[in-house]
Amino acid sequence: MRLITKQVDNKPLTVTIEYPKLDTKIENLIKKIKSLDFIISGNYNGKTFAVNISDIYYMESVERKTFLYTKDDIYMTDRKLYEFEEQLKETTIIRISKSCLMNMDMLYSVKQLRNSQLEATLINGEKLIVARTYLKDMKNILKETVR
Amino acid sequence: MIKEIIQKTLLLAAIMILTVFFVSYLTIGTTQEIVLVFEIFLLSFFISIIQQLLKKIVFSHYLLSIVIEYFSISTFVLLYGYFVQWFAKSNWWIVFLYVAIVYLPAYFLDMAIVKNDINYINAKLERRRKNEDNI
Repeated sequence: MRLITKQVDNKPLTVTIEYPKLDTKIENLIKKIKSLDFIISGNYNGKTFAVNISDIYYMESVERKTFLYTKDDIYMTDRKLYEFEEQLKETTIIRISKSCLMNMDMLYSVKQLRNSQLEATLINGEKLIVARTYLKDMKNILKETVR
Repeated sequence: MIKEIIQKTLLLAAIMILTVFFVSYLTIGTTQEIVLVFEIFLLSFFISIIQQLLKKIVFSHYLLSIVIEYFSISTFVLLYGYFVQWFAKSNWWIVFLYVAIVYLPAYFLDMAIVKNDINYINAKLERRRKNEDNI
């Protein structure tokens, strides 16, 4: 793969992908680039913030507040988790339990614990509990995106 | 794949049983066996509704959800059995045994399916990492 970058003044950021044949790798690359441009916003105590979804590891609802976890920061918002779920339907962020949405791009592995609970390990080593109901959704998203 | 084969087998068997007993009902009328078969199908219908309702409540603890489901279904079967006069007053407890007999293989089957799903997910994640390395 050749990587060509060039600075062009007075033009918006433009990414051009040239490929001999459109395959899964290219489709995933396109999806990833698109996700870099998908920004979600929230507000807390009158302050508004914007986070790129490709930076989000997971989102968790705790006592009517929603927390967004990125590599280095945690954002808190009054917006409900189901609102984010609705907004992020076409992305790789999916529900994994009643109180948590996870970015599938940040998933490293899944395992079953002794008490039959399921545990997802993220690429940063954080561990999340997965409800069995959503295991199928995880499987489907990987079926679509990885070949 | 195994899950799909089992589901299709059970569905086909159910359709065959319903067809045979429905034809029997049309030709010879009501017998104890015919009534029992239709009662079982009606019970299955109600159990499916209960299971769907319970699915709305997501428990992260699998064993807890199994126990709640087991007791909910057992209680309903007990009431239903009492209504259609399946159980004599002395052996009402047998319903918990019957439900357990149905749930135990279902539990192990579910464990096997989940294990397969986890293996599938981890294999896909491994492949994704390799694909990303290649790009």
